Amino acid sequence: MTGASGARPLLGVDTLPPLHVPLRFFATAAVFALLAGLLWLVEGEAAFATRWSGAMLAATHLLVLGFFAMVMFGALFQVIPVLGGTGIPRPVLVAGLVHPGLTGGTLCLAGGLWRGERTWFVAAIVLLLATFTVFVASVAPIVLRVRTAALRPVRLAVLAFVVAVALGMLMAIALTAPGLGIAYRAWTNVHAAWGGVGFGFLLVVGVSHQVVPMFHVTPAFPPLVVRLVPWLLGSGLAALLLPWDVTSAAGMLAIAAGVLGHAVATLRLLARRRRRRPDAAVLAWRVGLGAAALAVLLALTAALAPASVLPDDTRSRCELAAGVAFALAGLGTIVMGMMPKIVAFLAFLHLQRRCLRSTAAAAHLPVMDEFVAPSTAFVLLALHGLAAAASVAAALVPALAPLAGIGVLGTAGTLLALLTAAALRYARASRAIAEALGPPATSRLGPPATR
Amino acid sequence: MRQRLLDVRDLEPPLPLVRTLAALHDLAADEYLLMRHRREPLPLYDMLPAMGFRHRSRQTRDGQFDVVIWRATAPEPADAP
Repeated sequence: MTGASGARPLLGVDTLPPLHVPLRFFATAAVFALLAGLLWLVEGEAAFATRWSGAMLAATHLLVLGFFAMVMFGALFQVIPVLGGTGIPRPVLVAGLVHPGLTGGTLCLAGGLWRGERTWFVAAIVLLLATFTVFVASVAPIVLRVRTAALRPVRLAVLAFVVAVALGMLMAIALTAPGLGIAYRAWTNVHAAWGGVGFGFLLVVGVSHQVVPMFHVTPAFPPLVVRLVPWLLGSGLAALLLPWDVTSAAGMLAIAAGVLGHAVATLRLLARRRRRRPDAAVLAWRVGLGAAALAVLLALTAALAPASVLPDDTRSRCELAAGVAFALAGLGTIVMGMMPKIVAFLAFLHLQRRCLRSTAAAAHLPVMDEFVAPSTAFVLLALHGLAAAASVAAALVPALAPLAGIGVLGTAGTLLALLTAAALRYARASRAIAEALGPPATSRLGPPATR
Repeated sequence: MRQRLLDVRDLEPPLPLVRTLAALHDLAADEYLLMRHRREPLPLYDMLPAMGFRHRSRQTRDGQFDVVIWRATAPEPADAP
């Protein structure tokens, strides 16, 4: 394959949104994690008494929508240009609509679930539906038009998100209008699977196909794994929608095979990485994927074990523990491991392109470790590991709930401090570079943060 | 034209970009840079015209990339791979 300047569309920093777009989502995600930790701390044992407690449902959605979806939406503004070669159109405008909509909608939903008030549910349905429509309408044309293999898992993840939202809306309507008699609880596990595995894990799969070889200098994922894992996960999730026990069991087995397959493939690649310096992100991939695999096996056991072996109350505890383990110890660990690296990389890349033609400006360019110190990334990961372990333990022994709350609070506070420090370092370097470059006329590129 | 070889295949981001930009900064008028990379360095391509450089790239049989970069004021190096 041969290419030359100007011969084809190029992927460059120009297709990436300004740094403040993803950073705004990441910082808000940390605040939502703070709220979830606070809720667990305030409600204590009652929150973990049953998976149906208002506080548990509220905290779950503060974490999955307020933290995970918030981070993933912010990341998609960066990921889609990288994987698809074309960015989300008008990213600042779309982010300006989606960010407050997701923030407000999640707060209303959590309030409604916690307090059981109809008004909150109605507000949540309106806000979240409008927000998701804007986001999916902005993303769908790209993921449907660009047929690269790299975008395939993202395309499936967006589809899974739509299904998870549709099921969630059905449940919210059932809670708002009990007279309709919708048996929403029967759909809870399916809703959680489409959200957690479909949107969450498939997006992780799509991103890892790119970032694991790129950031950790490993060989590429085997083509068979790249094709098979999204197919297993997608067909497994589809089977869960069918009304028969046998198809549900087959669906769960396919999902477990997909998660395990991706975990094993990634761990094998990481074992072959060429650079061996200690890296919090590598540890996060290992721990997160291991935890996700164990969580799926626990969920599978809880679903398939006969009643004579697993009493209903133990089964319910195992289901809750599997959900918490998959979300916090699995996806959460991967997000906490990658976020410091991605933030530092993006901050560096945005400043770097302003220094291309000025040695004086380049002298003010910080190295990546100055945005987020590697030791801070390890501290964040260790705190998150403790918080995730305490949360899984609390799912089994509800009296440990305050410990889970304190753990999540500590992790979220550290993440917020880390992001703030990185943003301040970026702002300081940006000012110094602007001064070194002189009046704006000397720089055709301009500061990315103001575009 | 004289060739300068830069192998960034074992470096993690953003070091390939940093090393390449440093090498281009020092590139003499009668030199071109041959960069070996395990991925196609797309962000770099977008930066090169603003810096006064042109490039061409070729994917090798083992799936890696050879990128030839020369000053826009100089002719395209005919002897480059």
